[in-house]
Amino acid sequence: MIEDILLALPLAIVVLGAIVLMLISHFPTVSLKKYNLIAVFFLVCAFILKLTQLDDSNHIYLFEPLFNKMFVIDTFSNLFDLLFLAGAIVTLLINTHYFQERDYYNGEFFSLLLFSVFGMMMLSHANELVTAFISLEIASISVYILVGYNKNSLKSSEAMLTYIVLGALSSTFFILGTALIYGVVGSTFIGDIYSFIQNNPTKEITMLIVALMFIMVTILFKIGAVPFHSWVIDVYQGAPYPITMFMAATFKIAVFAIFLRLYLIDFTHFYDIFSKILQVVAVVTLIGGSWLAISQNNLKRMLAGSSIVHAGYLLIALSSIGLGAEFAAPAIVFYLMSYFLSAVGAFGILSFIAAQRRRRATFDDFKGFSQERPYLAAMMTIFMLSLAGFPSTIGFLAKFYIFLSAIESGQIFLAGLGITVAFISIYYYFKLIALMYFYPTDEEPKKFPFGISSSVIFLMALLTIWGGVGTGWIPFLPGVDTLVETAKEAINSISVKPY
Amino acid sequence: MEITLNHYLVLSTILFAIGLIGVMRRKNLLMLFFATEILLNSVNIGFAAISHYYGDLTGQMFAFFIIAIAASEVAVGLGLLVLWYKRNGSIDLDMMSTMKG
Amino acid sequence: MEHYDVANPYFGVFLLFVITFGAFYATTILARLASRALAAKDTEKIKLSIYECGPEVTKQPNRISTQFYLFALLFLLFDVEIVFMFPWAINFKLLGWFGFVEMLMFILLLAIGFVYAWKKGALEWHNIK
Repeated sequence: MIEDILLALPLAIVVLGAIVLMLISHFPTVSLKKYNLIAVFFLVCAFILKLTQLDDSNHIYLFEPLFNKMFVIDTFSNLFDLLFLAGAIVTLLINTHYFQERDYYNGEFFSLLLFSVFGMMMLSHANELVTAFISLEIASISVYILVGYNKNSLKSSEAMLTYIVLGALSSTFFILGTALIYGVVGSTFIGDIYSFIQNNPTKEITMLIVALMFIMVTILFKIGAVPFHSWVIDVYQGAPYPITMFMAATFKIAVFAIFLRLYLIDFTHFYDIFSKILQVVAVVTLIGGSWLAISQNNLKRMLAGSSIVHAGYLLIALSSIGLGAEFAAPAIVFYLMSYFLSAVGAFGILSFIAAQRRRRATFDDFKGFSQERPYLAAMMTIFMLSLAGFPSTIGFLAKFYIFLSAIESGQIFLAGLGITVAFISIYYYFKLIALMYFYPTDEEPKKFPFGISSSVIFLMALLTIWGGVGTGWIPFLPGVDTLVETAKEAINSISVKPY
Repeated sequence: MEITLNHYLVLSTILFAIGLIGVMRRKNLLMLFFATEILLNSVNIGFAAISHYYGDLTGQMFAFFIIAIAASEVAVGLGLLVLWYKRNGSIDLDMMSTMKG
Repeated sequence: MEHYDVANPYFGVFLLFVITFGAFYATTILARLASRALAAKDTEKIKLSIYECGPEVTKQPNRISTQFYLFALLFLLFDVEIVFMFPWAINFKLLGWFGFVEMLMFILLLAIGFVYAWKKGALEWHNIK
């Protein structure tokens, strides 16, 4: 019992932080900086605690006599927890400047962000479909509110309305699928569903496939795969910068956490059909996302479009899991980590600049940026290169593993398409780099602004490069190999099937 | 006629279809939230019926949780709707056209 | 792309999925176009107007404050949460002390939410004019 409480402590700390922030938001004397510090303090506490628990907890059910396998703690969920916590911490630190420049932030903002992180952490631990649904809703409802946080902006409210209507609609499919599964199997535990299909290979199989398809619809909606992508660009544009960053980098990873767990266990017997569906979805997502990203003039919208493309790469890897690529699942985890680093950095620079000027978002505004702020421009270049998958950045390795697994599973067409799309993506990423370096500017050169925001962005840039080249250079620091090993270990920890 | 599990499931499916049509056809945002409620509650009927069929109380507990989630989702949605109405004087979906992606 | 095996029984399901998808999109687009062309545009206002059993609606001199709406919403939320206490009460003996502590924590969380709403001024009557 005591050990279980210790294992649940990081979750409890995050909720406690959210409640504390909610309660002190009444005091007008507390400044935004203090709210931010308190939020970061709680998140860092949870992060450190989680870090100490990363190794010693392999497949433990939390409070098993009472919760009955609803919450599982394994390396997979711990790794994702660390990612969410890191995502929230980095989002808050990078945007310290931005929060102070805007007048609509208050204590509740940080409280909601922490609640959302709590929902995501629950999602990665959920071993039961209704628990997964509830935690998904905790995370999404908080994000709905955060998207519309700027009440003065018409765009922000409209983005929130679009998101909440479509999001509520899509999440009903998840619960419908759960109801169908409950009807067939009589239980909603992920392991029970697996063993039911194992023991009764023919009973009500169509119903189960339909149910899993419904669940997949919700997940594809949340990650913004193409048939369900209509909200992505508008919502990303309408949301405030910190939230765009949070959604693109952290929320997407959270949805993949539950998708991977489900896909590796419950979908096992239907890989032949779901791989085909995922192949089709991946193809349209890659093509549609590229088209959307190319046709945008606004940088935030371009990054939103490119986030659809990145979801497409991940879908390729998912479909290769079913076709027998052994390394595909760890490749997804690794890709998520690399995308997290580069996307957080790119959005971070955008919000850092947006904090100082009222608006600097289109491509044209970045003309000659390298003369005005050479260091920021260099970092932006690094992030763009990593997003495009340029060698010697972490993004290259991630894409390399994905395409390798696609080829290993015999999906030559998909691998080829992925590489083509990666080359197309060079167009819109390098457009920004070219604009920054090859155009003159009227602006005066500015000094490098030392502060929390810029140093965190610098750290992200360093990690992006170091993840691409630095493996094995420095004897005591873990390199990329460690990341890959951790990803493999994480996947192994859910593939263990003691049901 | 005895009412069996199938009847409940058919009812649940019909309600779900009604909700889906509502979401697709309605332009009024309030009606959209109504339709979402219908969707979630149709699933609730399914859960309760299946739970009775198996003689297992878990399904009814799920229904409670879904009710709570539906309530919070709609509370957030309606809260925003009031804000939107104060600003625009309309809750018609066609009014949302500042962004076209 | 690899060659799809038509004899595979799942291929039919897959085909169905694709066709349903196409049909779904076609119908939504058609429905949108048709409703845009056919629908009477100005009915929404009458549809939404207050209907009081036949007699004409008397215009209220003062508009109803949104505060009432806030009360209703808060009532709804706290009312719904009570539902979780019934199963707990039924299984009280089974769950024992741990269940009791857990329920206390749940109520504590609810109370915190209540305090928040109170402090935020959501329950102030004198705001209504």
